[in-house]
Amino acid sequence: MAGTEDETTAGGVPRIVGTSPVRTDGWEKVSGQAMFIADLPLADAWIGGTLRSPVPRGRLRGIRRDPAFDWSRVSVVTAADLPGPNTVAMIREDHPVLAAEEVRFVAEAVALVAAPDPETLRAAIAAISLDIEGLPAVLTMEDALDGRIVIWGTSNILAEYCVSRGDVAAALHDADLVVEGEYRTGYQEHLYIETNGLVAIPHDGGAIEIVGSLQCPFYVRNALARGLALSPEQVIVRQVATGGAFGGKEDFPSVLAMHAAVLAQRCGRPVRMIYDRTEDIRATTKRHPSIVRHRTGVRRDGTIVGAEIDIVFDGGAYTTLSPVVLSRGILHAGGAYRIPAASIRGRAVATNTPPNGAFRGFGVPQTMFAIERQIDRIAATLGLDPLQVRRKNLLRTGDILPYGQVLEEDVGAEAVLERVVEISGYEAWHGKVGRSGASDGHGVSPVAVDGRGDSPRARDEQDGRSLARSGRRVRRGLGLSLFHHGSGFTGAGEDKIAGRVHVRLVPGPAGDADGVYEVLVSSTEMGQGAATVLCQIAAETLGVPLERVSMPLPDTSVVPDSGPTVASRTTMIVGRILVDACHDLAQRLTDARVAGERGPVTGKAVYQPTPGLAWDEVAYHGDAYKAYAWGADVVEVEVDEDTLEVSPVRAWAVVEIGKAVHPVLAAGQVEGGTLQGFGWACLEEIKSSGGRFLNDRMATYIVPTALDAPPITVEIIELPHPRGPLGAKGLGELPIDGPAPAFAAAVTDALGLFPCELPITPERLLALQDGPPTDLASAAESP
Amino acid sequence: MPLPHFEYVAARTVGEALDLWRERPACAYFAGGTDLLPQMRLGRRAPATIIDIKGVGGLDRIRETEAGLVIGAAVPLAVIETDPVVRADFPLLAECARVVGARPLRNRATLVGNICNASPAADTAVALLVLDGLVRTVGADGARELPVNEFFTGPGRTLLRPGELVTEVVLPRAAVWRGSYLRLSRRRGMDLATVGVLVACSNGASPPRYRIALSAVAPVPLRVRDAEALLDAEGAGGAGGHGWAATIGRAAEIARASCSPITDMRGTAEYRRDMVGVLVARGAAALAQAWVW
Ligand SMILES: Cc1cc2nc3c(=O)[nH]c(=O)nc-3n(C[C@H](O)[C@H](O)[C@H](O)COP(=O)(O)OP(=O)(O)OC[C@H]3O[C@@H](n4cnc5c(N)ncnc54)[C@H](O)[C@@H]3O)c2cc1C
Repeated sequence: MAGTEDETTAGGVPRIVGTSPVRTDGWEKVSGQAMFIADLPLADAWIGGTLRSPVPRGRLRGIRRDPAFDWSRVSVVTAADLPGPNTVAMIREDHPVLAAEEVRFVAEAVALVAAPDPETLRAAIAAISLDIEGLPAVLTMEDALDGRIVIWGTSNILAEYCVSRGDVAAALHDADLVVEGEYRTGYQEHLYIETNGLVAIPHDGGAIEIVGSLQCPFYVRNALARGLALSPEQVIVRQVATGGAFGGKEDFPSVLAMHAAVLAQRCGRPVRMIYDRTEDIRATTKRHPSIVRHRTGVRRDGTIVGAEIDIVFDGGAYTTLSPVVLSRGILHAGGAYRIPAASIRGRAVATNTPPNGAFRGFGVPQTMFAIERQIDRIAATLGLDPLQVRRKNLLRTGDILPYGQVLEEDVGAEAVLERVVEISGYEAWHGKVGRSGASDGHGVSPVAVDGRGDSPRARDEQDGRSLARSGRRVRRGLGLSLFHHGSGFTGAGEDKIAGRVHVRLVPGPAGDADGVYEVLVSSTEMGQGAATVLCQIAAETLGVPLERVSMPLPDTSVVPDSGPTVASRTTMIVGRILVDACHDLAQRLTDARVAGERGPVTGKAVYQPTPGLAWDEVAYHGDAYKAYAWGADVVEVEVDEDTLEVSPVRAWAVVEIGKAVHPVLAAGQVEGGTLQGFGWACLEEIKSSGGRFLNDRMATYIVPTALDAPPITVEIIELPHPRGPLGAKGLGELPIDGPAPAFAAAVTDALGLFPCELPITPERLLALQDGPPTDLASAAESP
Repeated sequence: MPLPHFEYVAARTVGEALDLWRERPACAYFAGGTDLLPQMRLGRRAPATIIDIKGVGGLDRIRETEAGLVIGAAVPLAVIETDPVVRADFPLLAECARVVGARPLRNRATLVGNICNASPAADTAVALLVLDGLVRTVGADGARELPVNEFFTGPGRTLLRPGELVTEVVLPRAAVWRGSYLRLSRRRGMDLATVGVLVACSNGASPPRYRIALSAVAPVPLRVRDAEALLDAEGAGGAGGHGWAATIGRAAEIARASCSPITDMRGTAEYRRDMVGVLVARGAAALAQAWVW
């Protein structure tokens, strides 16, 4: 950990920020007292279930109910029965609550049923049949782009943005070399421990209450107000203890809440809907698959002079959050590098697959994988070490990003890179074995790549990467990545949200001296530690012990809208507003007590736009993010040369996050994000057939277990940021941006193969090995 | 999907288990339940009655008999993998048991359940095939003893007749077989085999004898007798000698040719077939290294 902080503040109160107290929600969770949605006692509640489309695309001609079933025992809702507009309000209104004329993906909801018990529910759903006339479906990004079948708008394009800076054509023309590469990434399922689930409770006069496993209570409130044609005040949304989200409970709960709410209104009683794992995997959002193409103009010494980047994300059947996921992906597509001339185009396309949505990283892991692999390709093509190319091009204070933002604050790129190189022994490893990949300065030659003819011993002496291990021939490799992540909403997003925070002092028996402070925010604790960290910030600002500060579970009728718990914004953005609210409380408290008032006092604050930061939404130009956090990973992999099994055996992650409010939780975020990144890199894959997801269980959708986790060394560097509370920047998403490209680079180092597609499975490596040699040099054209 | 409704009954004797089966509708025997319950949740099976056999007297023991070591149908894998006699005399079984799922699962899952479920990927099956295990059963027509080598008839199918209860598995003490179970899976913890290969050699027998069994690459776990015969014949003069590497290569080729893998979520048929060759060669080579002839 960086920095030896003084143990007390100026006021003599022990420091709280920068220490690692026991998490505020820890005891009730480990002791089993925390109430998750399935634990909520609701004697009169019915259970809701969903009848889903069996086909990826078709005309819905009819919904038939078997007359033999006694329909008085259950409540059924179809699109025709909805009380409001058939839309789940998100960025656009194209996502129906229930399919009406057309079904657009396998597992799309067509009818809802509520029943008193699971057997009746199952029987009722089985007694409904769908009359669907199949239509040709668009199942791949390629098919969506070629536009022969149009399933969305006029061209299947859900969103498109372009960023450009400088004269790219001239830069590429003048470059010594133009390096081209295409990179692909696949789905990732959140696989939060607790599946999506909530309860809708109908109240008098049409009002509705939602209690659930939630990430963004106000998103749900807004969607329900729109979909049920209610005023926002008639909708109350409460979060209960939430077992993980990773973005998977950002947009989808709005859909599920609409379903439960219309059922609850129909049957006049609470309706509980908790997906089982299979339904959750089949129907809810995932990380967008991607195809990213790079053309990079470089000088012989590795300096980047210009770049053309083309990005395609698979949005699935409806818009959901795809435009903003794409936007963030585009804005990070140049990586942590100085690119004097750049033109970046991104498109999110519609396919007849379940809508994709938010997932930790939000578009960045995809484009970061591409740029990082592209840097490795540039290095291999030029016969340089990947580290050397990174050192040459990394962003420094004062540099300008492709969308025109000038990096005014301390840039942590160099610090994290140099530190990770130092602690991992990267240079010693590569020094011993020579330059990675390139054997002759003209790129990876297929002869050097395919070492199958040599004996292991010969290779041992050759480069130290091979070793024999209990009859196995294994090779090891070390890979590196450098990455960054913007904190908070993009552009003017935070100004629009105008997040609000309240802090309330409720006096105790002895008055203010033993009173408790409540942090009233809509930010949610979902395992990441927000409740602990925000309480630490409040306690430190107020100068009171942490035990006297609490953060109740958000209830939209009580807490102000501090914005959603997304975009690595909670610590930095909400934490900053919280500091202001604490100062406001101190002021009001003095005033109230001077005036002789005894009761509770509430301090309030609202987000203050930073003067001088500007973002042009139309030109896609300006200050996209308030701050950037930086990271660098080194990964060591072991590859079995014959089975091509690859596993990470060691990892080092260094992050620069301004200030670690709670170093242990911060390190936990880095470890977890790194492992989640490895899962995406080499294990996780959705297999589908005709638009239907096949591996829809934990036994078949494979994520890493504790046994698959390598030792991960985490270091945190702190360059305090003036706009963060006590210097803190965002951290939540950063750690998942770097592991996949570092993993791929390590595979390249070990085997000489150059994987460009995730996940890197033994089958894919076998295909690379058996296929034509990866001739990196030919990918480059001399202008 | 939630579990459908069913009746749970517990038998205390073998006779009681058979009686319950006869009297009740649509029964299934229930040992650890680690195959049965997930299959019920997935709607693949819907027994009206499940008959728990874990409390049946005498089935919860490992005992020494003249016919060999006898493992009762209610003995969980966690007990088998740590049993000192199993580890000393039947190390291959201990090794194959140890890779099933994860420890909490093996505290419930049984050896007999593993083979009765008859998954092509059943990990303990390859050990029992190599060890010439015998399956003892009791059914309406009396008691039977079935060689494990004939027991599997297809995915999920065995020689068992309706209501026939496996009481125990016998491991004859003909020889001590040593070797290693080489198993590929996508991750280290909690994953079924993509390919499993057991290559074994009999200890002390002169000339040495070889056995090869495969899992997850055919409708049933199987032995590769042609490859075994080749190794037996060529290895008679002592493994590790000149030409042994070529022999191993030919054995691996035979094994490749005798499997019939499918492409599924765990791997492609081509990869599986390739890996059978790689792992048979690796297993055989490891034997040559481990043994001093
Ligand atoms: C998470 C998970 C991971 C797993 N990993 C593995 C793995 O790595 N390798 C592997 O091989 N398996 C694995 N399995 C499958 C399973 O755990 C094993 O097959 C286990 O050995 C089954 O034993 P059981 O006692 O639980 O069987 P049960 O589920 O009780 O029974 C299995 C079948 O055998 C029948 N049966 C049980 N006892 C008798 C009897 N005495 N006579 C007649 N019929 C009987 C039952 O009716 C049922 O059809 C896994 C399962 C799970 C859930």
